[in-house]
Order: sequence, then structure tokens, then C-alpha cells
Amino acid sequence: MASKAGKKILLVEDEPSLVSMYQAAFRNSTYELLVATNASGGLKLAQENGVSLVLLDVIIPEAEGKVIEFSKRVGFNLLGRLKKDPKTKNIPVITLTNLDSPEDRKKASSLGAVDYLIKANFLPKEVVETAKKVLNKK
Amino acid sequence: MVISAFGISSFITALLSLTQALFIFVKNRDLLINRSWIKANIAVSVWSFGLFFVVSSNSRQVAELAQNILDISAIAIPVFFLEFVVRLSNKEKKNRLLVRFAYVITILLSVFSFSPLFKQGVEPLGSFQFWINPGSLYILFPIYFVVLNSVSLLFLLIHYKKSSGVTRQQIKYVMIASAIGFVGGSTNFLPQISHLYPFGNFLVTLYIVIITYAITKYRLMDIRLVIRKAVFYIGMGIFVVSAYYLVAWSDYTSFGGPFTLGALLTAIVFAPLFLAGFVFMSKKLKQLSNKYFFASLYDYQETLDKFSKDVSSTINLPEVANVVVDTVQQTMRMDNVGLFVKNKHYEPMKIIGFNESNLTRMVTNSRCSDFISAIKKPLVYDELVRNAQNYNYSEEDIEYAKEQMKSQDVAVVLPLVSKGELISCIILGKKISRDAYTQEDMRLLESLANHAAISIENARLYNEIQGFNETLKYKVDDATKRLRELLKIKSDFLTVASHQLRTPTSIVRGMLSLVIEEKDLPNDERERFISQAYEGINRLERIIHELLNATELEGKKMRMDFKKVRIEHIIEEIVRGLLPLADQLKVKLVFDKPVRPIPKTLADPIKLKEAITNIIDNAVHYTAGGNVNISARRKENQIVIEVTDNGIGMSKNDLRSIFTKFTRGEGILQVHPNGTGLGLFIAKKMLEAMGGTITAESKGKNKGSKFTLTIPIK
Repeated sequence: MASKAGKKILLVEDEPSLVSMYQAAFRNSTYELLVATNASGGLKLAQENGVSLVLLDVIIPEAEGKVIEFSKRVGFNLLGRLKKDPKTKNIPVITLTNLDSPEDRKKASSLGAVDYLIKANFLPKEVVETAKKVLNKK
Repeated sequence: MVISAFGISSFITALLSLTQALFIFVKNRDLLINRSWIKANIAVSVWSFGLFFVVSSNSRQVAELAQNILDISAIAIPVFFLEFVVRLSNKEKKNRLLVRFAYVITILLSVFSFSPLFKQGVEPLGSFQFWINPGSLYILFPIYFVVLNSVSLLFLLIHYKKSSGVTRQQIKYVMIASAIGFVGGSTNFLPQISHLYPFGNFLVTLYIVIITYAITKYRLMDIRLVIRKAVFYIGMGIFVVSAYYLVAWSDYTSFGGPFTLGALLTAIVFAPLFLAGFVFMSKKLKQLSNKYFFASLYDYQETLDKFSKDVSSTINLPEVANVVVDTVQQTMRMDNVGLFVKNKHYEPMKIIGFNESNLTRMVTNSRCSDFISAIKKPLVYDELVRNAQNYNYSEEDIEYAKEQMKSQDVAVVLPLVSKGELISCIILGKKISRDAYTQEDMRLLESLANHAAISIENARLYNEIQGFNETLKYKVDDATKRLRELLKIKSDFLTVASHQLRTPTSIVRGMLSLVIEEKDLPNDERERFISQAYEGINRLERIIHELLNATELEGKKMRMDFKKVRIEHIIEEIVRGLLPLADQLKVKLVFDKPVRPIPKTLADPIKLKEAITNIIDNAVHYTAGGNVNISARRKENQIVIEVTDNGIGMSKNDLRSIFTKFTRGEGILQVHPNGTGLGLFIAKKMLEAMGGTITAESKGKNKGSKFTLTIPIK
């Protein structure tokens, strides 16, 4: 195991298979991967743990046990909240989703996401590389 | 022959009466009232010719023959006049007996006139060559003459008092004329009764003149145009003849003959002068006759030309209506005029003078509308009163029309017909002069109406096209809006579908990439990843299956593979399959098995299972942390399955559209993360193909839902 440089990355993702997949992918990196499966959990982790980067899914439940609705892009809502909160507003956010409409891309960038990755198009290791790039730039 | 003043006056009366009778005969002999006037006129004429011959002839035989003829015609005058009066005052039916009685007396008297008791031939008398030598009972004739004529005059007087407008004027003139004529004519009885000179014979001429005036000025007998033309042509004839004689006279006096050089040179100068004079005279004569005989002051052709020019300069309906109304008003000189255009109903376009709301109410009331719509020729109030038989209406209709026209003081209703259909009507009030509408007026009005009908029809079509344009634009807008909505639905669906396809893809792809590339992956994790990839592929397959199913179901008849199935078993199987998902979402999924077994039914087990799975799967997904209850029972010859949950429920809008293919509006994106939004649509199609139904109810958002499925027992 590589030494942890203390940099923490928060993954907000509700699909269990994908969570374990990204955990495996980040295991060999220098970053610590925190996981939240809903929006309120994600906000809490981001506020309290000195997170350096957020990988954010868009179609997620608001809280534990809540139904997921397509019409509510809860992920975008969380992104907005992160950018408003002085504690979290400087944390770069990469949108990690399977939505691919121009409107969604526009929405993400207008809310302050630094990148927009389609899960089906990016292998887990490519996601790790992108995260690395963003963190190094900072 | 001896020419006397009496003879000349008789001759003139005879000629004038005959001429007038001929005029009326040529112009309008169809009118019953005109026919009786023609008869009376001929009788007067024959009588006057007879008088002329009696007093002028040297031969006793001629005088006696003339006396016989004049007696018979004089005896006939009162009865013809009575008939005329009765017809003029529209009292024909009531007085039929009286007229017949008068005819009988007339015939008896005529026969009697050959008897010596009536006359004993003719004898010279004073300045006359001959005069009647009366018999002992001759006096019966003057008595009959005076009595019957007095009756006629009384009729006229009564009718005069009751009538108004033009009719009143007409009766006035007929009354004055006949009174003068009869008084004058009666003086011819004086020589044989009291040896006095028949001084009043000259007056008989006067009656013709007065009647002629009434004909021209008040449209009596409807022939005034003929007289106007006669006046014009006679005037022009006099002008040409006088010009000819003037030239001929000056040629002879100045140059010695018309074929001299001087005369020819003068002719060159004179010819254009004559032409100018001719044009000037024709104009002046028209003006003169208009001034003294006729109320109309317009030039027929000029009016039409100007109207055509004005009306063709616009296609706008209100402007066309303006031009029409103004032209009619100015040429006919009236205060009140209105134009209505017929769409479904009559709509007022322009109304001057009339009380707008009263007139509109009259025209638009259904009976009046129907009446107007059936009008083929102008409806003239005076005509309606005097010559109702000229119109093809029932008496009741005529009375109604008269009453309506009178109530608003309408003189003429002018129909505007285009392509055989009435499209508009012009309502005309009385002329300012209170003159009647002449035949020429009516001719002009009808020409104007024809022109106006074309223009109004054009304007109306133009309006209609504009209306169509607007409707079309509205429809295109509407269709565009719907297309946009559909596009939105399509794009929303594509978003969901691609997201739902990509999620399992990203799992499979990601997992396999890890398995291949991460060499130091522990074996248990490697196996777990492979099995997750396998699950992802299954999920992908399910979604593809749903998508294809939905596409296939659209508009096609489903192929069914019917087998005997037991519904409880199918539901139990479904619930077992969904329990892991329910556990994951913390849903309490319960099937309340019926106490009494439900009979087997004929259905396609695979499709039935898919349909019910879709419903329950849907309920589980939207009821995280809640309860989903399933029940099944038999109701008559149906199986009723109820899936009740206390999940997120549905708004009324959603309820309406949840079973459509790509649900619209707010509902569309409520697809759960593993679905395609097609599950309910597919379930409904499948159940319907098996003769079943599916309905959904919900008390609202967050108040749970209940899906009720029925399947027939076969």
C-alpha cells in the first residue's frame, strides 16, 4: 500500500457495484477515497473531513432510503450547496455521471464543476488519472 | 266638316286619351289597375271622337252613327272608372258585387240607348252641326252617370283619408283629375236637358294632363320613365328640326340656296356648333325634365361609372360598405340607409339615419331574416301596398313585410345576390323629397346592387382568406407546440434511456477493466467483480428487452402463448424474485394469499408474469422504507389483483399519463434508476392483450398508490 498523502477524495455514488469498482481503482493511488451514497451524507463528509476533491454522481437519492427521481437532479443540488458553503466552495468537483445531454453539461459547468466525466466512457483508471490531474493543477 | 272650338277640344281629348292608353298598354299592361285605366281611357277617347264627329259632320248619317257610338262609350265610362278606383284602393274583393252590378246596368243602358225612349236621333243645335235629340227616359242616363261617378269619387275620398305617402298623392291627383273630368263631361248633358251650352267639355282635356302628371311624378301606373323618354326625344326632335329649318332658311335668304358655296362654307362652321348645341340641349332637357317632372338628379351611367371606380379601389369590407351606402344615399337623396352583410346571420356593416339597434333587431329576427334571404328582387313598400300580386308571397307574408317595413319607415329592401345566393341587403328609407322610388331609381339601384354584390363578395372572400390565414397560423402554432412537446418527450426519454443503458455498461466495462489490468487484485475480489459484471450484463439485457418490447407493442397485435395458469403461483414466484430488491430498499413486500384458491385461467404465463412484475417492481422502487401489499381474489368471472403501497404516490397529472409510452411532463423523469419508463406501458398492453385491465389511483403526492389489475377467468 502506498503512503497516504492525506489528500482525501469524496465519491458520492449510490450504485454499490460502482462504489466497489472505484474503491478498487483508487486503492493503489495516493488518495484516500471517502464514499457517500446520498446527497446529505455527501455534504456532511465534505464539510467535516477536509476533502480535496469531490467526484459527484448526479442521479442520487437525497438521503438514506429516499427514492431516486430522474426529474430531480439531486447531484446538481448538492453541487450548488457545496459551492455556496464557504467551508466547501473551494473544493474542486468533477461530475461523474451517465447523463450526456448538453443541458446537463451546461448546468454542471455553470454550477462550478471543473470536469464532466461519463462513467461509461471513462475506465476507472482514467477517472483516477483525471482526479490526479485536477489535484496537481491546484 | 265644320270646325268649332267644341269640336277641337273633343278631338284633342280623344287623341290624348288614346295616346295615354297606348303608353300604358305598351309599358305596363300586366297590372290589373292599369288595364282598367286603359279601358276607361279608351271609352273617354271613343266618346270624345264621337262628340267631335257629331258636332262637326255635315252628314246626318255619320252624326247618328257617331252618336250611337258615343252613347255606348259614355255609358261605359263610369263602370270602368269604378273598377279602376276599386283596384287602386285595394278594395276589389269587397266590392266585386257592386262592380258586377254596375256592369249589368251598363249593358242594360247600352241596349236601352238604341230605344226611342233614350234618343230620337240627332238634330242641328245652335252652332253644332248636330246634337242628340233625347227621348222621354233619357234622364236615366245622366242620373246613372252622376250617381256611379259620385260613388267612385266617394271611394277615392275615403281611401285618400286612410292612405299616406305616395299612395295619398296618387289618389289626390286621380281624384282632382276625375272630378274635373266628370264635372266637365257632365256639362255635355246640359244642352239636351236644359238647353245650356256644354261649356265644361274643355275641362275633360285637363284630366288627361293631371293624370299624366301623377303618372310621372308619383309613379302612378308605373310608366313614368316612358313619358320621360318621350319628353326627351320629342324635345330633341324639335331641336333638330328647328336647327334644320333655321339653316335652310338662312341659306335661302343669305346665299340663295343650300348648295351654294357660301352655304357650304357656313355649314362647315355650323356643323360643330350644331353638335355642341345638340349635346348642350340633351343635357339641358334632361335637367329640365328632371327638375319639373322627376325627382332624380343623377346621371345613370355616370353614377355607375363612379361607383365602379370607387368600389374597385378597395378590398376592405367596411370601406366597400361605405362606398355602397354613400352612393345610394347621395343618388337617391335619403336620410336613412343601412347595409347588412350575411354571414351566418345578418350583421350591420353601416347604418345611417335609422335607429341602429331597432333596425338590426328587425333584420336579424329570424322570420325577417328568412324573408329577406328569399328576396329575389327589390322589395318596395309602396309596391307591396299597391301591387302585392307582383310579389310571389302569401298574404300573411305580405302583411308581415308591410308591418315590419312600416315600423322602421323602410321604403325599399334591396337584395345583393352573388352566385345565386343572397350575401347582403341594403335597407333604404324614404327619400328626403318624400317622392316615390321611380322605375329608373329601381333600375339604378338594381345595377348598383349587382356591382356592390360582386365587390362585397370579393371583400368577404378576402376577409375569409385572412380568417383562414389566422386559423392556419394558429393551427400551425399549435402543431408546432405539440411537436416541440413531443420532441421534449423524445429527448427526455433518450436522456433516461441512454443513462439507463450506460449505467450497467459502465459497471461491466469498469469491472472487466479492473479484472484485466489490476494484476495484484485478490482472487475473491476478482471473482466478485466478474459476477457483478455478469449482473450488469443481465440488467442491460432487461433494459434492452423492455425497450424492444415497447417498440414492438406499438400498434401491433401481440403474439400470445396461452396456457392454464394459477395466478397465486405466479405472484408468489414474482414476490420471491423481488425480495432481494425489497430488502435492499427496506421495503416490506407482502403477498396476502387468498384463503380460497382462485380457479386456473387461460393466459400467457411469461407475459402475465412480466406484466405483474413490472407493477410490483415499480411499487417497490417508489416505496423505499415502506410497505407494498399484494392481494388477489376472484370477483365473478374475473381475477382482481391489487398492489397497494404507501410510497411517493402520484399527482393527478401523472395518473392521467402513466400508462402512455413515454410519459409526459412532470411524470417523465420519475423513472426509477433501473427502469426505462416503459414498464407500466408494457404491463398495460400485455394485460389488455389477454382481455384484462389495469387502473391506478392515488390520493396525491406522497400518499401512496394503488394499482388494480383484472384478468378474465377463461
